[in-house]
Amino acid sequence: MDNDKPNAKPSEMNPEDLPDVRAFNDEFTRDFLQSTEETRPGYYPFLSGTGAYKMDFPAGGIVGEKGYGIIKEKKEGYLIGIENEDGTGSSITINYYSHPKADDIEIHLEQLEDRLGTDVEFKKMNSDGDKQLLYFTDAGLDGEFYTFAGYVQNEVNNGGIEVIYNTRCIDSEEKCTERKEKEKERVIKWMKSIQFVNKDRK
Amino acid sequence: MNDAIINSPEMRLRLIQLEYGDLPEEEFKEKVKRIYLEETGKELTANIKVRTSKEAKIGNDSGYDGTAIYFNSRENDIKEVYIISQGSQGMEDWKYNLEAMLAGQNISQAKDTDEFVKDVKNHFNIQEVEKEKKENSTPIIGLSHSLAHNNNTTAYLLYDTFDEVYSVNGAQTNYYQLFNADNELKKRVEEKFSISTTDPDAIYNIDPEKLRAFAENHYKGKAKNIHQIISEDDPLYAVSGVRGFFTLGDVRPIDTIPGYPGLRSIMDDIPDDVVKDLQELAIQYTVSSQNGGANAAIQDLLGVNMDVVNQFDGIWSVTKIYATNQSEIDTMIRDVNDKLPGLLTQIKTVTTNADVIFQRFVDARYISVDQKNLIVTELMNIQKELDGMQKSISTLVDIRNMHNFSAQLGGDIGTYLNIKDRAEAIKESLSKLNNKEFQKLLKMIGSGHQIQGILEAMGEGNKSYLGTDMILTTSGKEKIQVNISAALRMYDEGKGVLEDKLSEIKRLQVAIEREIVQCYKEKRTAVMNKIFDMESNPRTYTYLLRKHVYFSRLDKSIIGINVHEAFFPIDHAAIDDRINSLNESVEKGYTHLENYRTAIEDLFEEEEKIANLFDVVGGL
Repeated sequence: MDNDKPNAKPSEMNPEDLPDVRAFNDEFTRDFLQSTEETRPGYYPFLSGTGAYKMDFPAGGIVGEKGYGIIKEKKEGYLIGIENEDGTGSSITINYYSHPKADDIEIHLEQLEDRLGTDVEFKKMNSDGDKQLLYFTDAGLDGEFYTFAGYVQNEVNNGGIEVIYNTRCIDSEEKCTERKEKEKERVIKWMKSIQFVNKDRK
Repeated sequence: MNDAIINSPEMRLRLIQLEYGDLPEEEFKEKVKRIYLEETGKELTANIKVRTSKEAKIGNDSGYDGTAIYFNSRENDIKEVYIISQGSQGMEDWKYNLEAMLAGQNISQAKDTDEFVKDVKNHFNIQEVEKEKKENSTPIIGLSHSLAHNNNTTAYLLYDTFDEVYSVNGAQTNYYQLFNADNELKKRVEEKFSISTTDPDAIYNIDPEKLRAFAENHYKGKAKNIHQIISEDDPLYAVSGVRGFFTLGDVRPIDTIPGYPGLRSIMDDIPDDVVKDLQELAIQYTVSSQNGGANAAIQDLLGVNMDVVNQFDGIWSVTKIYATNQSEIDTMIRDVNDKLPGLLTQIKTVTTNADVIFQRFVDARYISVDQKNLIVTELMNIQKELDGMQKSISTLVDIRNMHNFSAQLGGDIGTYLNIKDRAEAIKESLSKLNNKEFQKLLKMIGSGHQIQGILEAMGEGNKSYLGTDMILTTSGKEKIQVNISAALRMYDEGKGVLEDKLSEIKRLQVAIEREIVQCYKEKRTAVMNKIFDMESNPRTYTYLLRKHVYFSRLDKSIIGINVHEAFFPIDHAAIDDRINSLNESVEKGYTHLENYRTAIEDLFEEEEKIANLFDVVGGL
């Protein structure tokens, strides 16, 4: 019936017809997923609750319901927990704000740096053509974790997204550094999948 | 930083209260100077610059509202910035803040606080100085009351926004909120409690007590710079024992209502989810009533616009009002539909636990057993009516969404009458609860949150407060309390009035000169011109003879006119008298003010330097 349509929203589909992955098995997370078709292997299309941006969502991830917060179309924040394919775990905090202007980028990068609690340098990268910029940093190893962070600034309208990506690594410093370097490219590629949905302005 | 400009709790409290007044910039600066003078006895010798978050265009989205005061003086080596933060005044945002604060995912007002401070530093050209060279830096000091304490302190913990944070009756910081925002804390918590990184909600399974202790310890370094004054009777404090909230910094407790044990002890072992709902109600109540009294509170909480509802009176009147106020009614319906369900849940939590909660109030002697029974019964009634109201409203919204006008009108009329009945029943319950004793109690509890209440309870030595006015008590045999703030206002404003009067008198003198003296001169010149004309051309005036002599033939003529003129100076002695007596009245006024001043000065010992206060005010 309706479920046969390829463009039906996953949240309205019969749970039995959904892919058997962690993201779809979680009812709260399912609401954000736009289709059961992968965007690329291991990722599904995700639309934020504000509708302000979309991204590839890892099949092994879930969005925390208790920590989720949203106000109108202005702000949204949540935590994602991911079971990686290699058995490790990662967590991502994402905070969206509708007000940041491209001109104030220094302020917002400074604030993200403060949240990381360590001195970092951000590297500017193009993402989604020239419509937005990604500022990426490798915040290094600390305790049982290594951390990447990114700030996506909308260059067409106002808006910014703070992303903090922690992966747990309980191993020697050498091994963890090696894994971190291997994971870095994958994380950058994923961060570039975060794209603002720019509605036409009148 | 002992020599900071604003260096006493009383000054901080008065400054925070001053910020609520939304004064124009110049008046605000004058009042800042006055507070400084009254509290220190000295004239403020620094320049004051002010910037608001509105000017900086910050906080439009989050509702953050703040004012920065920059004290600067090269000669006196003064440079300090005070940031007075106001929590959001808008209901919408606070509702979100609360939910998000509890959920832990909102730091937007803290982020705005930090953005504002960065803007202020940039605006006043305050250079960032390396941490090691602290003595050269400009200290940034955060001041806050109520909800803003959460903003300021969270901003300080996350972004190092301030050097010192001072707060009064603050909404406390929340470790769930910080766990999500501060990556350092997040990592340490996950390690310490061995919680799964893959489960985003794992933090909520940790024993709140252990988490609180861990968070307190994690921030203990910064806690040294956080200073709080909390009223033991503050309703916000009473309900801040709910999970998630923790108190950082040194706390000076103030007993604003002596003779009662304080509200916090009543709440201490009431279940968490009950306190959480009470907390939400308490915060909404404090915000709404700060903004616009009880009517505003009803509309904010319920969505019911009492002005509209009060007009409903039978079918015909409903139809009439419907025709005239349709958009207001539409808004109200949707508003009620949005707000009621949440409120109802909270009310239900209270009614379900009413017996336990209000018994504690009885035990603490806030209310009697009869009063408790009355409250419980009426709350039950209110809940019943709200329940019914919600059912009617939700059908109404369903009909509305069908876009069928006559169905809408028919549905509306029935429902309005239903709402009116229910609103009236609620009003009746409320009026039973709104008797004098309860009003007194509520006012008393509310005052525990206000800055004035704290100030009044804080007096030390010969100093006390009435509202935000400073009172000094004389040290002689007979204790006389003098409202110094009011005395200085009267002296200052009295002088101002007399100055105004003097300049009015001057204007009157100028007017007299212009209108009377000048006029006399003009008239005199006209007369003299006429005389000259008559004397030079006597024949022209022959016709004047006719008045005196009858003659049929003109055989007589005027050959000369000689006017014996005498001009007396204008006699405006009467006017001068008036002016003199006006001037005298100003003199008398000054003498009066000075006598008044001396009388007050004489009440106090010389070393109390009261004279200096008047000197400075006179010259301000």
